[in-house]
Amino acid sequence: MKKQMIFAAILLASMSQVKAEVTLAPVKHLYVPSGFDSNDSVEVVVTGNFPNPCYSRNTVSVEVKGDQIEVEVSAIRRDTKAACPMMLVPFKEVVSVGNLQGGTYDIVVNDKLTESLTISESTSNSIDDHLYAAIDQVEQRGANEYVLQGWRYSNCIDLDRVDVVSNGKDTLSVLPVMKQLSSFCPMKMMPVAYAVKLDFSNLKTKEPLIHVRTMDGKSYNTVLNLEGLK
Amino acid sequence: MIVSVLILILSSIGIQAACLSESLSLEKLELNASEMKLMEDTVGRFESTVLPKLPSDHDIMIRLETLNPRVNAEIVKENTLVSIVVWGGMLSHPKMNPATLNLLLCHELGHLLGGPPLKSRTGWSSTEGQSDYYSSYGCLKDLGVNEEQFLGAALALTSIYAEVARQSAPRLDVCDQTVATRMNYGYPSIQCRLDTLVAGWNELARPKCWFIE
Repeated sequence: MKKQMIFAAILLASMSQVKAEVTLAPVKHLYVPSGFDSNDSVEVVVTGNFPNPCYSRNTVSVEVKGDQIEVEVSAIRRDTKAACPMMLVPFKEVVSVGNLQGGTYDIVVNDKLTESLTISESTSNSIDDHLYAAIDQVEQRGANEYVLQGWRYSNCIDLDRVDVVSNGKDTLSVLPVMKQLSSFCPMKMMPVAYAVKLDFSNLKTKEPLIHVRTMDGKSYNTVLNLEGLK
Repeated sequence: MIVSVLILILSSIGIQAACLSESLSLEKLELNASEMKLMEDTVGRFESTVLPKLPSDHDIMIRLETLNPRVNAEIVKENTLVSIVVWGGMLSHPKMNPATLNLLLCHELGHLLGGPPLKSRTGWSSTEGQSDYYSSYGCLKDLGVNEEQFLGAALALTSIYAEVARQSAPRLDVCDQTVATRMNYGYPSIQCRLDTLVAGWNELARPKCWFIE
């Protein structure tokens, strides 16, 4: 019993040296891709920099109130006796807003960033037979030349086309549309690479987002630093 | 009410060649003469039974594009002109029969007449879930379909949906237990869609897997 009490006292003492506090994340930029409609699961991307490595990502909450979407991105700040080196730590949160009725929404992140989000009415009422490629990596091969890397889960599907939609501001949405070749789909895992040209010249930022729609209904997102690439 | 209905059977060789190059499944694309007549008769009955009752000033046209292999159907609205299109892959699907085609046509009509929730605040189209509900609540009953035929059609149509959407086949003996936290304006799960059809037929509330009061 005495040993247990000593152990508990040591544990409490050590815990008192590391305090963790949940705080709003220091968000810097909100990317809102174009081209979502009422059949899609909407995603937006929030980026920012933690002031030091003692911050880490925590939770993201989304609340839709009429035509306002409130997003709260939180972080955990640990106060330790060890020094937190002064070093910016970039972070990125892909925020799943989910399915939305067609219309225009204001999206607010941490009461700090605001953008408009337009969801178009789906152009078709047909059965959902849309299929995007399974992409998990985007690699730059040259000026404006990129390769979408991922997997082809069966040889019954193949790439049909790659559509690129710009939001005219900071994001290129890349839609690698697949087509089904036959109804027999044996499971296979084949690595694939699809070349695509991306033109960022009409965007108004040097840190654009490449937002690639993927087979699982979600997206692969990467933020570039065009100045750093020069 | 102005209702004009046309059945267009597109059979030009040029269209056939273009469509076949993108074929999903060529095993049984073309309907034979008796199957085609059965589908035409079904559409004819649908036109004469359902469309005249519609409190609408729209011109509605039903097109059966038999040589297009796409396993799908849709309704398109341009001003007052409304087209329901059913493609060949759907018409020639092994699970397709007159009762299933009636349910499919009722579903597409439900996008126009099913009421809220709509896909868009300023749009015209009911959501998929609402169109499903409309189709079995009233439309299909107007066609004189009995319960056994309805259950078979509901299971067949949602099974075709499942194939196209690459989801598990739905079942009549289970329910989608998901409780939506927000209205689903897109595609509910296939099981949820079957549950919605059954709820509509039995005039029960819309399932919570997609609908929020």
